[in-house]
Amino acid sequence: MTTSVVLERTPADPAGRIGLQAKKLKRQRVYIFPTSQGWLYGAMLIIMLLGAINYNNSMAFMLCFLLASLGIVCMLHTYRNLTGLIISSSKPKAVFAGQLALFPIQFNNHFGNERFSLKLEKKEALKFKNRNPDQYEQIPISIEAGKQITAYYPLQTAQRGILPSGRLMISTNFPLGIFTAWSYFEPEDACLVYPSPYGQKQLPLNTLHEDDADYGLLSGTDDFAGFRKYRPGDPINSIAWKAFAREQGLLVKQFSGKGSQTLILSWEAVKNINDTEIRLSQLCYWILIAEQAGILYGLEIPDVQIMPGYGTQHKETCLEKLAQYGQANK
Amino acid sequence: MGRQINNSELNLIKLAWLALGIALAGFPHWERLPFWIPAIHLTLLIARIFLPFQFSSFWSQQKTLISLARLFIMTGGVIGVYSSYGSLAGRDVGVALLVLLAGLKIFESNSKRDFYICTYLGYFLVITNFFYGQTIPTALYMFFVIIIMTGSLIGFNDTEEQLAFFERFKLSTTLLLQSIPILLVLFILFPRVNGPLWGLPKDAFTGTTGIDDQMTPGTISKLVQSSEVAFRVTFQDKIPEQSKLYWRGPVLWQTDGRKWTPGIPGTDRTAPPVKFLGDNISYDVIFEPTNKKWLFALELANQIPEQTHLGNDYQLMSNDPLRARKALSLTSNINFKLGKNSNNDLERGLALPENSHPRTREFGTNLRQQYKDPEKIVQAALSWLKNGNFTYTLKPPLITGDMVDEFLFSSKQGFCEYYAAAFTVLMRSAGVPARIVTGYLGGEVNPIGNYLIVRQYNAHAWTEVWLEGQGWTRVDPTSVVSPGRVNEGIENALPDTIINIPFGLENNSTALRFWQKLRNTVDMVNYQWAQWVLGYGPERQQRLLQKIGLNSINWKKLTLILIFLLGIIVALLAFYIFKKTPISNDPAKKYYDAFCKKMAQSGLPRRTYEGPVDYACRTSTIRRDLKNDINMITNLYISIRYCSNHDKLINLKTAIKTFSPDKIISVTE
Repeated sequence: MTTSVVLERTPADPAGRIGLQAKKLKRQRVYIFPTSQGWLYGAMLIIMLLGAINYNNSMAFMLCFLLASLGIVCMLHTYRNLTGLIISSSKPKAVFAGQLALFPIQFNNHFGNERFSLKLEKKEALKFKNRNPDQYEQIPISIEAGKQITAYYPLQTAQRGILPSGRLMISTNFPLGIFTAWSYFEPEDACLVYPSPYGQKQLPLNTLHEDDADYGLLSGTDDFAGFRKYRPGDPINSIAWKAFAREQGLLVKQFSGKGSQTLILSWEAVKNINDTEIRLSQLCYWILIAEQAGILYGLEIPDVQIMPGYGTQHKETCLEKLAQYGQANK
Repeated sequence: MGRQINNSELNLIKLAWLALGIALAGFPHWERLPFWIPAIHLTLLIARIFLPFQFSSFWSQQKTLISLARLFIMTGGVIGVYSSYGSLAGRDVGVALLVLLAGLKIFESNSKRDFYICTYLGYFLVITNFFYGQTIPTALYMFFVIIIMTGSLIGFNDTEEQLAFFERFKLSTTLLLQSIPILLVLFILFPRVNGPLWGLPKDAFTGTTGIDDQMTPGTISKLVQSSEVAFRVTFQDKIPEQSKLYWRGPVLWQTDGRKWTPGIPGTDRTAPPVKFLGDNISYDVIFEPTNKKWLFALELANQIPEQTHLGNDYQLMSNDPLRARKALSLTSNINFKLGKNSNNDLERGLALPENSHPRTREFGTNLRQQYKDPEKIVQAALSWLKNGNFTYTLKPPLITGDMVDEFLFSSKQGFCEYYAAAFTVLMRSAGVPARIVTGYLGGEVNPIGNYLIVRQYNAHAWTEVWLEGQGWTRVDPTSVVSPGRVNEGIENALPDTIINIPFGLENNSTALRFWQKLRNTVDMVNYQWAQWVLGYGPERQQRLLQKIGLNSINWKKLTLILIFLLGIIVALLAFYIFKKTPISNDPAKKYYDAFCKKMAQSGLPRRTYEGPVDYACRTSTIRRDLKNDINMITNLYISIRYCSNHDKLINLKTAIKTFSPDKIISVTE
């Protein structure tokens, strides 16, 4: 969890569950305003009041005042439905451009009241208000008393880079829809968007080096050479699970032989592609292929040089560099 | 596009609940409306809910068709209403159109906005019911209807379907109950003004009965068929005896031989001089609405409240017609001498239509010649009535010829207005100025609230004659014919059906007494309701404010006080609503916590790191005497909490309730 805000009211803490955390929470204001239905409700009340005065009818007064009081009570309930929530976010999983970025938002309800019909949506600054509102998703949320839920706010990605979610709005009209209460939350963590894996070129096998290194992780035709200790970043399919089951710790199978190959995916290899983005897409595609094929690969693009390697972590480092290409110093 | 999204929000079941609320709100109107209006209304509601097509898609495809249908139904409805009522204005027409409109709006509902407009139309339907009746049952029924409509609004906003349908109505009831404190402050303190703000439709107040300023034979006997309440009176001291309870209403001077009217008063239009002799009687009256200006004070009123005045025959009148129940504080004095306005009065009090009542005139002339003194003439006429085989009956034979002559000399059967009219004519014939006073006589004492109920069947008419030196003197000819009417009240003279005694109860005295007590209680509740709720208007508000020390307060100050109080109430309510509700615990945990508390009180608190089993182990070694109890409770708790044996919850509850560490220790010692 990186950021946490509490909506107006800090919850009572009988169980010590929020503990110190509550003191660090940033308070976020909750706003409330009548909806258009609410204004209509008010207009109805005024007409009723005029009718009651005109006919001098006590029960008409009574009904009019009952509905007016109901409006006030409804305002308090709408406000209560939102306040006291603790909202935090965590880092969204990186995606490829064109995929949906999902921002995980945790809602923590430490109160004894259930939260009804909340809506999470992205709120553009006012000047963008005339944009098509359907562009952004509205996520319905409900939280039981004392429970915590995680909602994923989806944003369509278009290009690689770093995509912040922007300011999100959490709002509710419950119970009568005549008032709307809302508040804002801005997740700190942005989503890393890799270039979309795309390209027509074959793997640049001319850059493939026969390597005499005594380790290689390409499985298949090569001979099994023994075990070594697991190092973070080693591919999962090279872990010796049987050894792990014998409680020998995490060991990685090693293969020897001439099959070990390293591939340098460099800017040079894609130099005849004019568009930088397409170049990056091509490199991204190659990384995925190499990773799948079990080829050791390195990356050489301007300002970045990654030694050949293998495994999920290696792949993610490479993809991250591609995503951030040209943006690092921004 | 926006409309399309909304389509999916309009769930048929949710709409059905709203339709039910609207149908219930309109239900009391059905009997008042031409039959086809509720029929169309219901058809539209049912059609919207049960028609087999998927409306939302149908709607978008068949827009022209539907708007044509809507146009057709509404135009047809308006034409139909016009042909039924002959007008497009007025209370009844408004209700008819509103019922039609509500049905149509539900029928065409297809978006969020439609849903809200339907709900608001439903609320309006509720309010229109109060223009026909404001009884307690109506109010309760309407509260129920509002619960349903508000519940359906909650359902509409419960987009995640988190609430079962009964929970929605539970929540709507909670919201409405929480509104009541604010409602009370608003109701009591909202500055009231005297309506109406603009002209009311002619039919705004119909269906009210009561005494009017015209009397023909049958007017009062018709009123006597009704047990409707005319007014209720609370006396500050004891209630005077029945024969003193003459409630003065319109005074009638002029007759055409059959019909009596007030006639045209003389130029002097102030109240005549009066001399009061006895003690004052103070009392509060709540008048039922009559849409007329007549008020009825005990003869004679000597202090009158604001917004009323005394007519030139000393009748109490309201400045405005009584549109709603009206509460007044009055003071009267039953011993008085009532003077005359001018000599013109004496001329009016002798006028008789030409060529009428020849036999009565002849008899009157005889009386005058025989007795000369007006007082003796009156006595002679009364004893003639007493001994003349007259009967007091609600159903007199039909008189076709001269009203007075035929009654006095042949039929001899009549109700009070016959006697009053005939006696007045006789007095005039004998040269004694006389006039008719109408009003009410007596009233029924409600022993539960110790107040007097005066009903329409207490309507009465009597005569006043001018006696030099005594002024206008009341003579009630009915009293000599039927003394019981005056002394014991009219109830004995009336058939049981009029006083609403249920069939079969007449001969069962216990049941009858019980029934009367019930009836009195119900009336008392209604009386309080009328006094404090329905009669609450500008005057009562002013009186209440004076009572709490806010004299002569203007509406601006009142508004400030209202806002201040509202602020306090809303703050308290917010405190109540927002109070930090702890997370509801598992019931087993709750009981176990109580157990831990008991243990802690006996000196063995549970340590923060200890689980239930460890805690039980440690404590049972220290407190051997409690070992069995501790182990039983811990095992029960564990099996409920972790093995879902929820049926054992009651065992745990009783075990912990009876568990008492200190008591046991005293036994072992």
